[in-house]
Amino acid sequence: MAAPTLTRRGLPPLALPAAVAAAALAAAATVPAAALPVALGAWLALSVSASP
Amino acid sequence: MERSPVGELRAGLWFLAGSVAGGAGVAIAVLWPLAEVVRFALPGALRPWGGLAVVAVAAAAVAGAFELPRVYRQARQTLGELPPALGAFVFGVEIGMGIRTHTSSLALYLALVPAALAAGPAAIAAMGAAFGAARGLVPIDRFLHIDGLGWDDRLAAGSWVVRAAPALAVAAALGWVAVTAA
Repeated sequence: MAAPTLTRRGLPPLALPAAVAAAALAAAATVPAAALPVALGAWLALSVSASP
Repeated sequence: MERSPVGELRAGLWFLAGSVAGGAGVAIAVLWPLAEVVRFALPGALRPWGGLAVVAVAAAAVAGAFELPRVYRQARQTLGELPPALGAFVFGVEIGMGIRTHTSSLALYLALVPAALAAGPAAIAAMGAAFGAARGLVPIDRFLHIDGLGWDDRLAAGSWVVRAAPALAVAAALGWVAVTAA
């Protein structure tokens, strides 16, 4: 199976979880009570993900 | 042991499942009861201010004003003795719980405290599951890149995501305290 590649698109490491975290933060503009907990958890996780 | 791409992706998905379960589980089992105890002891009017104070300390530590203790706890060697799917799941649970990590600063975890003080169990569980999901997606992210070693090098050189993440986590914590205090 040929794995899809993100590097060909020039995306940096952690682009996938960052997209999820960014979507949660964007959603906080409309549903803050639901989205902010998700955004906090996701960005906190990315903060400790420097060493995979 | 070399794994096929399918096997590697399958292990990554088990790791993701474990990480989400671990994050949500520790949030409900540990963070929520602790938050309830603090809420019981702290008058309602003071909770947002207490939360803001904790975020301020976390933000100052993230900005480099002072150092907090560091945590270095790598994966257990015995995980390799388990079947691959189970080993990946168990490792994921430990990662999602935050007990296996290479944390540059505990200040990042302080951002969780004011949010837990300001939220009910559903939101706390969602926060923990999101933590686990973001941690759990890292191996899959690496898998989807064409060059694993290049990914490692680029991450070590300083991903903009890792540089921006602490500030965004603190901002989300502040927003959550503000929303729930309003």
